[in-house]
Amino acid sequence: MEQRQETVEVEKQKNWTNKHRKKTLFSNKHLLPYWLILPTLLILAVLTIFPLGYSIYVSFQDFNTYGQPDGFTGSNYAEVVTSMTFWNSMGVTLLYTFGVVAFEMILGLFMALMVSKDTKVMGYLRWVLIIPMMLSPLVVGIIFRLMLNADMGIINYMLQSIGLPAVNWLGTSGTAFLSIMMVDIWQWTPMCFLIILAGLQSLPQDPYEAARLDGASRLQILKDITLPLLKPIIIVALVIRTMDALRMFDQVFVLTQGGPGRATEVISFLMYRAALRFSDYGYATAGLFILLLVTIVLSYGMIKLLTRNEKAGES
Amino acid sequence: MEVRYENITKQFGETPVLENLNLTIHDGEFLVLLGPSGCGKSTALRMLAGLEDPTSGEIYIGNQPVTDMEPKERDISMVFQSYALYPHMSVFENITYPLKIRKVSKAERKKQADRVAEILEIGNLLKRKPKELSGGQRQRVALGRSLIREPNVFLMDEPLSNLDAKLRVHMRGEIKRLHTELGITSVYVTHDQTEAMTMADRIAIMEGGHLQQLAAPNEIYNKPTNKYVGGFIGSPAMNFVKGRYKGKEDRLDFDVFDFPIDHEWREIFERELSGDDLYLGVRPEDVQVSTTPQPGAVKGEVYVVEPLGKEMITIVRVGDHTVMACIEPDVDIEMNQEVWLQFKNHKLHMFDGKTEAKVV
Repeated sequence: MEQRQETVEVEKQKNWTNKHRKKTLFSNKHLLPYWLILPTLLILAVLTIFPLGYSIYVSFQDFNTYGQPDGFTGSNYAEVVTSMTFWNSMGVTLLYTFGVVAFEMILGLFMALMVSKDTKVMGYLRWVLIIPMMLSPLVVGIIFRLMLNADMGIINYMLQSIGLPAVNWLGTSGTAFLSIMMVDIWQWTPMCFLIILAGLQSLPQDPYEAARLDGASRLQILKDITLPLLKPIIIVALVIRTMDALRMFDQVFVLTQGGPGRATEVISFLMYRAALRFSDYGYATAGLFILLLVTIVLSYGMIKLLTRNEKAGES
Repeated sequence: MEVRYENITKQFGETPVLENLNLTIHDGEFLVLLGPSGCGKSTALRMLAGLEDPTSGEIYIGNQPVTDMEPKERDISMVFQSYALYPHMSVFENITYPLKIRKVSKAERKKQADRVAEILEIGNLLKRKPKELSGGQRQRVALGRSLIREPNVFLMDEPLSNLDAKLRVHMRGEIKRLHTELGITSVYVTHDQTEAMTMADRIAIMEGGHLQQLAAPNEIYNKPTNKYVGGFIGSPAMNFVKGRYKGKEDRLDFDVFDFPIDHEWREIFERELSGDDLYLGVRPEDVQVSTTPQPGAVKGEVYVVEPLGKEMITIVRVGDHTVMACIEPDVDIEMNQEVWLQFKNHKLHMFDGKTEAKVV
C-alpha cells in the first residue's frame, strides 16, 4: 500500500516536470535540431545566400553611367554572349584551365608515385614539395613578376648565363600566357600531389602483392592496379583544380593585367574590369554567372563520367 | 616441385621472427605450417612467395635458388587471407589476370576461366565485381585466380579464416580434393589445428620463430616431441601435471599422488632427464573417471561438468592440480562429487621439466 503511494507520488512529480519543461525554448525534440543549425544557417545566409541572390538580382539590372541600378533588363546576358571579348576570354580561360589542370595532374601523379614510399627522406621531401601551396597567390605572383622581369629577372639572367637569348616573358602573347600557366603549375601541382599521395597511401596493399605474384611488371601494376584504384581520387583532384583554375584571377592581376592585348584576359579578370573600372555591374555579374554555369557543367560531367564507368563495370 | 628452406633467418629490425629454419617440402605434398599468431609461419610463406626477403639463408624451388628472384619469376600462386582480389575488376577479369599478363589470347582465357569456374562452381558470378560477392564466393574467386595457371607451388595464407564455421568445413574438403586432383606442391598456413589435422600430409608446427615438429598429423598427435606441441594439438588440450623424478624410490612424485615406475622407465629417465623436474602429459580422452574407488586410481573432486552432447568434459581437482577428462555423456556425475581418475598408461607422455622435450 505504502509502495503504491510512493509510485503515485513519483508519477505526479514526473508529470509536473514534463509540463514545466515544455515551456522552455529548446525542450521540443523536433525543433531542437533546427536551433542547433541556426547559427550556421545565419552565417551562410549573410555570407553566401544573400550575396548570391543579390548578384542574381544585379545581373538583371540596367546600370546608368554613375553605376546605379536603373531598372530590370534581360539584355546583360544577351550583351555578354554576343560580345567578342567575352568569347575571347572564355577561350583563354578554358585553354588555360585545361592546360594547367592536365599538367598539374600528370606532374602531381608522377611526384606522388615517386615519394609514396614511407622512408624518412621521403617524409621530408613531401613537406618541401607542398610549400608552394602554403604561400598566398598574390605573393607568388609578385615573386614571379620579379623573376620573369625581362631586364633584371633571374630567369633571363640564368638563360643568358648559359648562352641563350633573353625572353620578354610578359611582353608577348604566347610567353605571357605560358608564364601565368607556369605560375599556376608551380603553385598548385602540390595540391594534386597531396591529394593523390593521400589516395595512394590509403590503397589496399594486398592487390599489389597478388599482382606481383600473378606476374605483373611495375608498369602493368601501375596501369592495371594503381590507376584504376586511384580513379575516384584523381577525379576529385581534377574537379577541385578545374573549379579553381576556371576562376583564376591573382596571377593575371599581378603579372599581366590581361595583356599583352587580351592574350591573358581570363573571364574573372575581364568581369572585374567591367565592374570596377567601367561600373557595369550588370554585365559583370551576368558574365560571371555564365562562368559559374560552365564550372557546374564541367564538374558535373566529370563526376558523371566517374559514376557511369562504375555502373558500367558492375552490370 | 620440391621446396627447401636452408638456414633461413628473418629479422624485422632487431626482432628475430624466424631463426635458422630448415624445412623440406616434398614434390606434390600438402604441407601445413601451423602455429599461433606471431610464430613466423606467415613470414616463412611470404619469403617463399618473394614478398619478404630473408635476412640470411637460401630458399630453393626444385634445385633453383630463388632467394634473389622477384615473385613473378618464381612461378608461384598464392591465396591471401584477405583474398586480395582486384576490386575494380570483374570476377572473370580477376581470375584471368595472370593469363592476361602472360599475353594469352582472349579465347584461351575464356576457355580457362570456364574450366576453373566449373571446378569452383562460380560460373554464374563471372560478370560480378568482388564487392557484390559473399565471403565464400570471394574465397572461390581467389582460389580460381591461383588455379588458372599451373604454378610450381601453391601457397595459401589462412584462406579460410574469414569464413563462417560451416563454409570453412566445406571449403576445407574442397581444397583437399583439389590438391589431390592437381597434385601441386602446396603450402598452407593456419593457426587452426583442425584445418591442419584434416588437410595436411605433414604438419610443421612453429612457435617463437622455431620449427617445433615436422611430422604427419597422427604422429604429431600421438608422439609430440615436446610439451608445446603436446599442448597445442588436441582439443580440449592435453593435461600437464608438474612432478619430480624420485629414481631411488622407483616413483614419480606429483605431490598428491605417486606414479610407480619400473626398471625400464627408470633407465630412460636417468638417461634423458636434465634435472629431476618433469611434466606428466595426458590427453583428456585418456583419463578415465569412475565414481567408486579403483586400485591405483587418484582421488579427486569434480570441479565442473560440461556436457557437449556426444561427450562430457569433466574438470577434476586433484590437490592443486586441475585435470580435464572427456567421458561418456551418460555418466552420472555432479559437481563437488568425489571421483577416482585413472590414466591409460600407454598413452602417457613425459616431458623434461627444464627443456620441455619429450622423455618418454
